[in-house]
Amino acid sequence: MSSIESLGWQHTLFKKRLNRFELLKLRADWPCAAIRLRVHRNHGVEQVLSALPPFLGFGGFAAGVWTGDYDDSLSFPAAPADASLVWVDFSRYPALETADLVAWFLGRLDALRATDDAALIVANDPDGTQRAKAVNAALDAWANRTPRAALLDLAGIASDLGEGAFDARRQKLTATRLSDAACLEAARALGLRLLPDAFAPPLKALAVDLDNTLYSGVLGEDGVAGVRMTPGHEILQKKLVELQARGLFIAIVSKNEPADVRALFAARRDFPLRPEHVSDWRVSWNGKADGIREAAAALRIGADAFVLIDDNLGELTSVAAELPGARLVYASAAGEETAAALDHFPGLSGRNASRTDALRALDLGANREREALAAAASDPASYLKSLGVEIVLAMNPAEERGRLAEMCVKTNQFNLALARLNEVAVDRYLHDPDRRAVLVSMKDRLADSGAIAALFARREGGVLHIDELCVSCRAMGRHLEDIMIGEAIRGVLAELRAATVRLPHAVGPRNRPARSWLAAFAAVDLGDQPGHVDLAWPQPRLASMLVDPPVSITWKKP
Amino acid sequence: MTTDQSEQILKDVFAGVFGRPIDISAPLTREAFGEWDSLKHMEIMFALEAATGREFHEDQIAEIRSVDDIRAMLES
Repeated sequence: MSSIESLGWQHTLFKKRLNRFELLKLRADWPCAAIRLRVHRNHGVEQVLSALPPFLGFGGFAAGVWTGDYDDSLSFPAAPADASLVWVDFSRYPALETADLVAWFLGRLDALRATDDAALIVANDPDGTQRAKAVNAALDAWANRTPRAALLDLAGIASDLGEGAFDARRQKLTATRLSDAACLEAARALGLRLLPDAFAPPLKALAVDLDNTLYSGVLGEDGVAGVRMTPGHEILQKKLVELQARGLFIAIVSKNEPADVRALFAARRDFPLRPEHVSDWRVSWNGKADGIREAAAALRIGADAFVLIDDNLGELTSVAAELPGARLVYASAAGEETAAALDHFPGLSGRNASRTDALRALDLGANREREALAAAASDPASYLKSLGVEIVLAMNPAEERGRLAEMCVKTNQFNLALARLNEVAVDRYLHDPDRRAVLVSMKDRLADSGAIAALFARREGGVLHIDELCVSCRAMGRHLEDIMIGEAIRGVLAELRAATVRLPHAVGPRNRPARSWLAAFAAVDLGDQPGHVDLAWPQPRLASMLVDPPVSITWKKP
Repeated sequence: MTTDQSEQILKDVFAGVFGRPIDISAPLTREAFGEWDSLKHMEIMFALEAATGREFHEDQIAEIRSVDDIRAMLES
């Protein structure tokens, strides 16, 4: 995606009230990944689909759409797809009691879910009636328990638009009760959030400029007291605080004197964004691409997981040139517009914080202290004992399905098979009698790291296949890989007996740490091709480690 | 709105709806241009409303059969 060209689209895509004429003029002339979208409907959807391309294009996607006939029975004819949209006007079922409508509709959705792994997006009921609220509450619960399912919140859109959400006068011409304004908002939700969330890893960090981005003014010219916290910039800073609470890292990347920036944050208590919200500071006169690379290394994430927010088009252009694929947000003089961009930006807008997300920043801070302890310790065992590490493993934690899938998608470095299991695939491990999923969490006396590893196993023909093994980069380097992976496999073997454990390994651009671990663990040379390693179990080197481990190991009861 | 402005809007709308530049200088009718179906017609109308800030009556919309009809509607 050409980040610089798409900057010019921001104002049109993120404005409060969308304009179809302005949207029509936006055509992505950069490469876009294709998504096959299958639409099942009983009313007009074309006004939504015709507005979808610029929103999808902004995130680097393009949809090939198959639209079914108007079908109140929701027969769901088969068609290959990467994503399905169920677009139903519930007012077309007046004869059904609410409970019957809910039961029938959810039954149809479950049937559709069972046919394939496609991302499944269901539009809820925009009417503000009691019946609609009951249907939507049932849909919420269904989406929460169903893998790879999400709701297109027409109720929320209708609430925002009020009477402007419906256009009964034109229903004969458009085949839908929804207004063009509602259809444009639906396109925005689909194109900027729901579809990108299903196909792209979420962003992990915001690199934030200071002058004329976080506040109005230039620190070096206006001084600590002279820069202005306008109402719009206050909204922006509160938005950043909210995103940090949802698990995103905030890195300040600014060309300023470090002493001036320290004085600024110490003096300006009116700033909602406080130093404790910031995970990394890159304040220098070096290029911003270097700042982002350094922040990425410190935070142990890829530079492509960042969004740079900056008011300076020269800086944005420079970063786009040095970091291809960089995500960019142009910070306007009106901070509120920048906050609106962050509300809609693909990869940011759909985040709901998990407990592990909330712990991430604190855990990272503790890593620096852990590294100091490791350097001072005489051996790994004494290091671990000094930390008071507690490992907690959970077998088939169905309530953590989302987190298990997220680890498969987001982990790049310690990812052994690169299987990229989505929620539907993870769900099979949680429910198949010959499969298991293990989630590993960790804490020590310095911080709670939350969930940091996931293992997926399948027994077939007397062999336990480890179909995927991921360890969060935050947990790497603590000399705990052997113990936690060994204990996870031991726990699975206690339920799925097998004499051999097979660990497939893929070759990816960044998973050398996982391959290096396996080579050391199995004492083999993996070469440079994908393959697998077969291990007899138990492994002698693990036996003594697990009999008297230097860490506390607990299996969480279901 | 000047004639030039309305012509540019028409060009932009047709190019946007059909995904390519469309020659609207020649007579262009719904009957002759097969891609201009009822759904595209509504897309054109909504885009024109967004471009001009005007709202067209459903009867006006239904009566439009050609680009010339749209010009007449914009001038009215």
